[in-house]
Amino acid sequence: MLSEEQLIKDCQRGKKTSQYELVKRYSKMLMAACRRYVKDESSAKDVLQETFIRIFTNIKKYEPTGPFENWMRRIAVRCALTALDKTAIKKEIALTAHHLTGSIEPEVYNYLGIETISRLIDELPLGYRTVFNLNVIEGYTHKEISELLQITESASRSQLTRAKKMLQKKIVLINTQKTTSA
Amino acid sequence: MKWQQFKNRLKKDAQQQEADVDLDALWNALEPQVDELNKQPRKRRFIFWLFFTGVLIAGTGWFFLLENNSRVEVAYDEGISVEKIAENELIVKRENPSITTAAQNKNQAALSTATPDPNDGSNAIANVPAETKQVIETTPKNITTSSITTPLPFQKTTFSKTPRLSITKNKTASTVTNKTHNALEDTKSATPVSKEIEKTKTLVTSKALLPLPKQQSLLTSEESLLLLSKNYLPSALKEYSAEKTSANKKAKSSIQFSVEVLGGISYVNRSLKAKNIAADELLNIRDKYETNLEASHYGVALGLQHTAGFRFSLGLQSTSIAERYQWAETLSEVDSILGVQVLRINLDGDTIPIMGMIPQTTTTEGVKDIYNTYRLIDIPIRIAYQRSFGKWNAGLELGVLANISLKTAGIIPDEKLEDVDIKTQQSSLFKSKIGLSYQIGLVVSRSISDHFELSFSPTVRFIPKDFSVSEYGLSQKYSLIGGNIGLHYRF
Repeated sequence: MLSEEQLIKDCQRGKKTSQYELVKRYSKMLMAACRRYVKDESSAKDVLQETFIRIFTNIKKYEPTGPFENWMRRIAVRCALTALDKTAIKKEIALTAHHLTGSIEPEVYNYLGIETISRLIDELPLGYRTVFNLNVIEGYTHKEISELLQITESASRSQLTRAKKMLQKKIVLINTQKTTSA
Repeated sequence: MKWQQFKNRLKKDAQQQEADVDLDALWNALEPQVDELNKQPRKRRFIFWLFFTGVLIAGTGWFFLLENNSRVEVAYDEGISVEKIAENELIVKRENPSITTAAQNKNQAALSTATPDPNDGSNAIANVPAETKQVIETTPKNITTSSITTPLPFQKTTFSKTPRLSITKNKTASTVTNKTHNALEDTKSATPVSKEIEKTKTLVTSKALLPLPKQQSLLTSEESLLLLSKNYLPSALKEYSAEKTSANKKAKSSIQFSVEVLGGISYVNRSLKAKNIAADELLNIRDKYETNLEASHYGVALGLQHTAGFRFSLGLQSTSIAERYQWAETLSEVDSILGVQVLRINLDGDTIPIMGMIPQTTTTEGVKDIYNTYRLIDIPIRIAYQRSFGKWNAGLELGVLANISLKTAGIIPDEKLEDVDIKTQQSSLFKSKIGLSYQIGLVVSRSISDHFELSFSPTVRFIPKDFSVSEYGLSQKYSLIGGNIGLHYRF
């Protein structure tokens, strides 16, 4: 099995077998990243395809300053955002931007697994979900998010706070339901 | 658990999540595009080789020109030597293979057939012994660069056209010996040899020949030799030396370096085409809302100029192409919000609000006036040929510009009329380098002092490569028509 470094070098040289190996190794991880932003199955496949094309096009410019997976994931996120209806996101953000809420209690997240939390995140409105995924999971700053989504930084911050609050409510609801059924 | 801890855990777990993928279907869809990508030739370090080639051409040209001048110089240096081979003999040597035997024969004939006139020193040759070695002259006509080296096509010969005395030799040394003078002792003139030779040579002027004074016939051989060397050699050598200096000076000044600063503006002609049917809408939008403005450029260059009129320059240039994205439209959106639909007052006088959905129309007037720039950094290599008309020069210039950087800034619309930031998203829209572009133009210049020259050159620049990446739906190319003004400092 090729090491990651050798795989990258071979792909930079345009070696087809290594390019297939790269697709095989990372397609599932990248698909999960795409699905966080694009709910529709067929759209997610298109985004994944576009992601790999961009990866192979730009792999010669890749410099090992950070993990290769992170580099690919960033490409996947950008492709997903391109496919998103940004108008809808901006409209939703504009409507809710002024509804800033108070602080939330993080302890509610302790007893849930990643699958449940991911499902709850998927149920969030488009704008909340997008900003939450970009900031919390992908690690983008609010400045970067504002440039990607062409919104203001304050709108990005408020969206994240709103997303956290809504997520908290959902978690509490699940917890209550569990307690009741128990 | 604090929020940050939860965030880190969520981030780590989420990034490791996987989703199901049909690998075969994915690869089947990817493979043709991957094959297409793999076909693209590796870009060599083109810019490096282009720059290196330019420097190599300039260096080679300079080397050959310098070498040629050096050979001329060497030829001068090696051409003349004076040796005293014996007490009574002085040899002035100059290698000149082009001295023809015809000249020698003429002299020989002249020497052998002339009738001496005792009263006229011009014909006192008959008494010259046949074996007398003679002064053989040649003319500067034989001293050409072609006998020394193969000149470059555009090199001018820098020799003086005035014939000079060259005390030359054939393969065996030419000497003026005491024998000659002894043979002439009975004559009253000491110039017969010279004059006879003069008759056979049509290009030698009297200035070139310093006739021996009549008294010389009575001089001793040694004294005549000394007089000969005194009269002939110093002036000849002096003339050669002067000629050498003059030629060297001319050779040195035939090549000049220059530093150039130039700037200019151009009219922009943009070609925007859809690569596929899906991009037609985008093409319509961009054609409708975008306008070309102007292109401005400035740069510096180092140049080599030859007096023959050729000029070569290599430099660095920045070109900025400006465009405007202008959009003014009114958008209306009809929505409904939850609000008080009706207010009812009951019999008790209480006001009861009836809630319901209220239609709401939002009208937005939008005006966008955005300026976009496409900045190119190029290495221009230019070759020009100019003819001189007094202080004015005019000619033709050809150039190749190697682009080393393209930076875009501004906003363009997408197919949904959404703003696309071409600065942050340049990599997904436009290339970072666009290869070679070509330039042709006229050059008119005027010397404004010994060192400074002002030039104006109307040019046309063709940029044949597409600015956009292959994934972008439109092909975007440019040509620029404009002019440059340049200031050159020659040294």
